[in-house]
Amino acid sequence: MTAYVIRRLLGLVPTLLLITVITFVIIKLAPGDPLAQYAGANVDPAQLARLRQRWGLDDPLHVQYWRWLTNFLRGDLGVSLSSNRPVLAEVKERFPATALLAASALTFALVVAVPLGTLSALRPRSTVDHLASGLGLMGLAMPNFWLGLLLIWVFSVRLGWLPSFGMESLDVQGGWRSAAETGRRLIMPTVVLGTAGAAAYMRFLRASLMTVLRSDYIRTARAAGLPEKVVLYRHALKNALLPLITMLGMDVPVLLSGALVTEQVFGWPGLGFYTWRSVMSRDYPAIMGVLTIAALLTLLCNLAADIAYALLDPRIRYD
Amino acid sequence: MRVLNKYIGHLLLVLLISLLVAGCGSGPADNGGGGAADDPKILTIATPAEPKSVLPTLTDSVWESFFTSQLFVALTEVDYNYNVIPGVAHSWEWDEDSLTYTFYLRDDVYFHDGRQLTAEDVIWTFKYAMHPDYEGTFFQYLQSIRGAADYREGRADDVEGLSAPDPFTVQVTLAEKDASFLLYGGSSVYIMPKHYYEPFVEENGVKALRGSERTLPPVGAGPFRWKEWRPGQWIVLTKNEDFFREEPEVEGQTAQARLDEVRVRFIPDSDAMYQALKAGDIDLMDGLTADQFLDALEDPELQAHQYPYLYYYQFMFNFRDPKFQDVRVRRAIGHAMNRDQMVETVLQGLGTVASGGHTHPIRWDYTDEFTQLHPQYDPDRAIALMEEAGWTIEKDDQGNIVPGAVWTKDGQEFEFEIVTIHEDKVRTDFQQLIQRDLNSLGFRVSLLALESNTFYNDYLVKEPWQTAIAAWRLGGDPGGGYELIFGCTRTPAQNGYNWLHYCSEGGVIEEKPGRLTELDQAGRKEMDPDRRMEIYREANEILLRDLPYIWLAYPDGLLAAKRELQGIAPVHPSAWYTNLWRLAW
Repeated sequence: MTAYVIRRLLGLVPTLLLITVITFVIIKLAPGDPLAQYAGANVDPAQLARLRQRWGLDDPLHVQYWRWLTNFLRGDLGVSLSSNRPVLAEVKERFPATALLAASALTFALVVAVPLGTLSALRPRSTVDHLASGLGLMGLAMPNFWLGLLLIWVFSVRLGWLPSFGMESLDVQGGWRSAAETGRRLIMPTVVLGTAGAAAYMRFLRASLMTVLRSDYIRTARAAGLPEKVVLYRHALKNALLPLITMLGMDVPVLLSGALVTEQVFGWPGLGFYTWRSVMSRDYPAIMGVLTIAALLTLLCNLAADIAYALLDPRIRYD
Repeated sequence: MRVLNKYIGHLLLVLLISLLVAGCGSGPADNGGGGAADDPKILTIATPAEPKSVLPTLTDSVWESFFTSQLFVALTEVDYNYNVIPGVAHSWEWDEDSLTYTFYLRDDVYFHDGRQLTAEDVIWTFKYAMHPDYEGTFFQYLQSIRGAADYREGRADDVEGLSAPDPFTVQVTLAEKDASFLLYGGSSVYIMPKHYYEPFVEENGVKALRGSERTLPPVGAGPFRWKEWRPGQWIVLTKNEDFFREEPEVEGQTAQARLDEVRVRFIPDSDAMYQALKAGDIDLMDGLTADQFLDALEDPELQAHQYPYLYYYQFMFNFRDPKFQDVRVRRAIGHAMNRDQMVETVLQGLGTVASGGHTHPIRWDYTDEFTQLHPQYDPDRAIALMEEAGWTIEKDDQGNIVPGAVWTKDGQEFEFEIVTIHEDKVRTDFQQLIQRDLNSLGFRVSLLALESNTFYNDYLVKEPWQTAIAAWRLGGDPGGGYELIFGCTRTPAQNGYNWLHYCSEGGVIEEKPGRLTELDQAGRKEMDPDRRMEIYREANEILLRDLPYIWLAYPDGLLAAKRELQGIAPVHPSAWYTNLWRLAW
């Protein structure tokens, strides 16, 4: 296992490098101009040309990439063209909000998906199963922005129960008051972001558990007189949940890279909206920084998922 | 199974309790206004994103300028008719012979740290925006100052045209006459305290000032002070008790009702922002869509304001396409568009049909005569002009165009594409209505919508586009726009916005700058208002003669706020937050 992990970590380096090259080429080939934000009827384009030259945007592509790579290897993600602040500082600023929302959404998804998926699998074609499947389909089909606006209209505008936007970090008021306020502001974005995941996990778990419950070893366990609770939780569910690890390994880095639509609707100050704004304004250093971090997270999370799988399933061995 | 059911039951109970707790909890944290007399009077607004900078000369959007205008002050200000009025400079003189403005500063203006604002702060700020390492776009407002270009290019250590004979007098000598200097140089370049920013700049460099707000809290002399910037969450400004202007008397208000604090939150989505207003989480929103505005009009909790502002939508012809080089064709297309219906349908009446010309009814260079020169909706006239231009189309016995028939000339059918940006629903709706109008009159029109950065910086510049819908936000002074946008030698390759490759000299790009450039340059140097009016009248008459654009509409600014908020109207056309400090609960 150790050798396997080391090999994977070493293999991560050329993979990441290739990703950065492809990313760089794509964003440079994309039409547009980072100085577009300054343009207007009263702005002389000669001013913009001067800025373009000062920012090195006229340099050959390979020169620009090499400049970025050498800085990256020193831990410097460059300076945002828009804000003139280090990209790493901007990412660090936004990452806690994204991590909080991601963790919350993932927890919500699992808390909803596991019991509902299990119940559906245990009572196939029952009312509960049909209801859960229907909810699952709705969750998958509903666009995030629509669900978000609907929740805001119901719980903020009509009922006045929840704030409609924004985040408040824990240190603003301090103590339980801050925690409560943070929690209140987290509810709707969590539901919006977690709904699709809950739906997907629930449907997957249902199918996986139904397959496992038909296995020979489950029949044997029942025949041996084990209580149904033991059969379900110690044997069936544990094995049915294993493939979910792979799904989580793919979803976690996506969530940690930011949820653009949810952040946009709720004004959540995370990485998703930051990335989108960077792309729209062609802020190349910011785009490269965020996408490289996202790629790294994806590679690491996939590795973590593989390792977890091996640890949980003794049948799996990596050499 | 009972365990599972119990689990689900517990889960539902937890969710229910959470909602009850949430419902019983405190209301939104930023509920402004109202409350007891001693409660701080807070205005909560939202902007689409966090500012990249709030410092003078480093902002690049209207909502970023919000912060600058509240934290800082300028030599001059602009009234509701875009007349220049005193700001920090209580008066000024213009000497025609020496090309010198002499500004006399108030002696009762203090920065937020208690230091008095003097002439050296003005000069330091101007020089900052002219420094070789300065990375903003405000230099163009100051480039007419004598020595500015040399200083900017590093050929001089100082700016020859700036001096301070005494602490409250600033003399600005221009290299040439600049009629817009008082407006742009005077009111757009907000004054920074030299004593506060110079040490930082000397230690870290000119470039480091952009993005420095996290470590160097802004200090200005504006009606509000900087309190806090919590990244991603809010920016808070508090009232400057020592602001130099007297608080105006407003009927029904008391001094305690004035704003103590402004909190700015960040909501990227327009629909979500409007919902936040409806929910009471913010107190005011500008830039409503027509639907939102009409909804706000019906909401008893809100007040809604419609106001003119300097903006127009236009339909542009690419003169590189031979089809559009004949003015009769352009005029025919203008006659084919039902712009009244476009305003009624798309803007829902919250705007007016554009009269034409690179101006606006609220700007001084506008005249109603332009309306007579722009093609009005007249399908018969459109058909006649196309035939005059040599195009033919199949007609029935009654002389009506056969459905599906297309204008043809020399074996070529008149088909073309209209391109615009997809982010602005007004433009895409205009696209569709124009397509309908033109297709019904024998044109074959297709549509394309692009992302805005691609549209402006790639498609219009590099691709063989045919027609496009775009918009311009105008400045308070016409100077400079005609040359940049319509100058014969101002194509994108020549650092201009003449994407059309239009030239007033026959409609074909030439090497000479062209009449519009000549007029614009003359207008910028002409100090006599009546003469300026004549110059820009001629410029607009040329535009209306040549029709590089079909001017579509002037949308109105749309704003809504909580009903209890006082002092909003009349909304200043340059920006709603001009005179924000006069608002009160």
